[in-house]
Amino acid sequence: MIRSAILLLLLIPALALAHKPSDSYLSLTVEDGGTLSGQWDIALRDLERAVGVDQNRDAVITWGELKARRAELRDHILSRLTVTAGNEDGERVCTLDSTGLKVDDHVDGAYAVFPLSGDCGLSPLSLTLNYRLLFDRDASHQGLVDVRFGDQTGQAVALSNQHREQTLRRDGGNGLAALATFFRQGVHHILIGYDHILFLLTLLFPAVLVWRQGAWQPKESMREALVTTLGIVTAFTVTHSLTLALASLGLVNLPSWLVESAIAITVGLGALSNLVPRYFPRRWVMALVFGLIHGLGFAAVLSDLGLEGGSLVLTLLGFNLGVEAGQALIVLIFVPAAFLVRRTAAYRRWFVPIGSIAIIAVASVWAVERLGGAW
Amino acid sequence: MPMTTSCRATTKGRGILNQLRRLTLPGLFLFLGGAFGGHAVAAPYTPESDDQILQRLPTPEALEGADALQQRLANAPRDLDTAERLARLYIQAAQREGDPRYLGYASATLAPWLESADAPPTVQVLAATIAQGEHRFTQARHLLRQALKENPRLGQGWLTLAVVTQVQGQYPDSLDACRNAANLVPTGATLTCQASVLALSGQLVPAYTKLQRYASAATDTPDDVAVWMQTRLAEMAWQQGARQAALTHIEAGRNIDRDDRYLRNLYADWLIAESRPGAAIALLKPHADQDGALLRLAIAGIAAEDRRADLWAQQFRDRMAAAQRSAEFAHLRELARFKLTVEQDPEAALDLARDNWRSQKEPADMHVYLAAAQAAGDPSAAQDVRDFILENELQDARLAPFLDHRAEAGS
Repeated sequence: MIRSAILLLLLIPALALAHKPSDSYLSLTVEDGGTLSGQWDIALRDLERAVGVDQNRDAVITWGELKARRAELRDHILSRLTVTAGNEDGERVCTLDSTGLKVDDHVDGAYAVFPLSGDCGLSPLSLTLNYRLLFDRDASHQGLVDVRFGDQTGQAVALSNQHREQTLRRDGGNGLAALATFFRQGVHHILIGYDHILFLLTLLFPAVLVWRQGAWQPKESMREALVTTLGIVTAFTVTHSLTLALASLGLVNLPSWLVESAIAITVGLGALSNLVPRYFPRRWVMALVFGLIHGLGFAAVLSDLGLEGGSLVLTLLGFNLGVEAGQALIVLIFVPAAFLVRRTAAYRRWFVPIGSIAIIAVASVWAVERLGGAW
Repeated sequence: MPMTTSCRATTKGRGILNQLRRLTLPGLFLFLGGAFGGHAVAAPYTPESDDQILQRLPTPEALEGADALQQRLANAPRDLDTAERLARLYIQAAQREGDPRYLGYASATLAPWLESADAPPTVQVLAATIAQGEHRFTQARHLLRQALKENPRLGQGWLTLAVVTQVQGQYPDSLDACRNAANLVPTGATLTCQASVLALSGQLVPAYTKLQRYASAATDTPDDVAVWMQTRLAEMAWQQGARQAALTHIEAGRNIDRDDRYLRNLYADWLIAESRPGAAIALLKPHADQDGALLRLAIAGIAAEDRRADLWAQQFRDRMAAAQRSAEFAHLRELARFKLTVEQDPEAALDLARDNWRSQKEPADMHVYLAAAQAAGDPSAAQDVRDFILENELQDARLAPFLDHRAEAGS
């Protein structure tokens, strides 16, 4: 092939190269006492470029060759990483060592896995990483780092030739970010989880009314309506938070078809209670009991989102707060609106009963579907 | 700050419903990958025997002589000429192998000069070429402007500038750069450069005819220039809807260089468009290690109802997830096409295509944007593409169906 002197081939605009350049994966956990542990995955191709692994130059790296170079590789990579711990008393460079060697397959080839251990000699509030691996041989290399303080959520950071150093703090942005993420998830879930919304609204339909002489009558004051509402919402919140926590901690574990069917049934019963309120005098008790079941439903969502790795407390707190915020939003929209129209016959004689019957119908369909899903 | 598409998409989303939808769709996978920084890999293991092969190292033909240059550079670290030659080898290898690592090697080779305040223009042009290959278009332009100001006789610099401005849709600038390259690079390269721009700015047919005439008459065109020319001719023919002519040019180019990745992918796209997904699979199967091939395998696999389609899609997804952990994720076009065609998630595709449009304005970028908008039931979402097409009088048979749609809706 005759080549011109210019690099024409790159002149095909935007021709995508492989999507993944050279990355290493470094994860570090620092305990309260200052002990470090972790692992560093580095592509064999990168180790070949940095230090040389293919001893017999046959363009193939075998396990034997890799093992034979373990000490040199370890010395090299440890010389390219500095971890400094800091707290109010000052800073200290952590010791780092690596014993053992494994292999892992990533999407772009085999990686050597170096287990890391070390000690910072102080109880760290911050960790500064200075990363220098491979930059002199591959300027586009990146270190994708994941740092954990104790059992906190990992903080991810990418270190590159232009950005070689980064300080991460205990209770740093990422803990809050995780909280915010799960808070949003909680809000999302309550807003799209129509069975929860429906249950709550069903119980709240008559919050602005009072059952007297065989019919729904308007409550006189906003205060009365608010007390009822607050009672229902608080009861529901207390118990669903409880079961959400229990299920997330793995202390309670029910099959999802059972939970989902039970939720449908609670919706139906809630609606039924609007039709025959005589038999359901204390609505907050219903919210209290049925809240237990809805909490299990929330827990299923949370576990689908994945809990491993994150700090459980932060995750639960964030998600739960999100659920409550979403719930408060619904209540704040619905109750004042209902209060305004509570005197109308349309609301009391039509909306409440017909709405309730419709909800019973929907809930029955759900219950049958969800039970049917079990076999 | 590490960035994942899902994070970008959710922050830039257009409303809570859209976001919710995306969360429940397969995007959840990427979302979680980003949120937890998880590795989509199996657990580390200890190989059973010393002879077990862990990794085959690529030995690109393009890197022949690289070791010797490397050695010479080690002995004389300030030898600019050797460094430039080595960097060019690496850039060529990156292109041939489709492996961005080599671009990093090239940068590292040039680092001693690039880090100084007065880098020679030739080094800046090479650095710009690398930046272009890494989709850092703005930085590439900046470097080129500096270099060409100092030395306007760098043909490579003008050509690269023409390409970068063309990708960004600045056609008059691009045409100027092509003109400035004349007499500094082979005639075929200048003509291809100009025709490429003209074909996107209202002069498709004359540009094609003229370049086609040159291609069939010229005898002294270097092979790499000829491949580039045939690639462009194929695209221009396809732009006119002349698929058979496009195939002729693809074959002409592939007869010169069977290993050209861009032409191979273009050929696969052609086969897919011709409803011959089986042939596309046969063509790309040996190259499944390359992401561009994998994307098309996933698409063709579905069309051919091939049982490996899911596997290819999953492999592509895994690679995207891994790539998105990096700070700079530059493959929005490919991911948008994947979301649209393979995962059938037009909303996610639309968000990606819109992001992509900010930095890349080639017909393929327009196509995925328009197609995603239409599939999402919101053709007006891609209004900026339509405006761009009208403004530049761009003709393209592949885009026509989406544009007609608007005319109908408007009338």
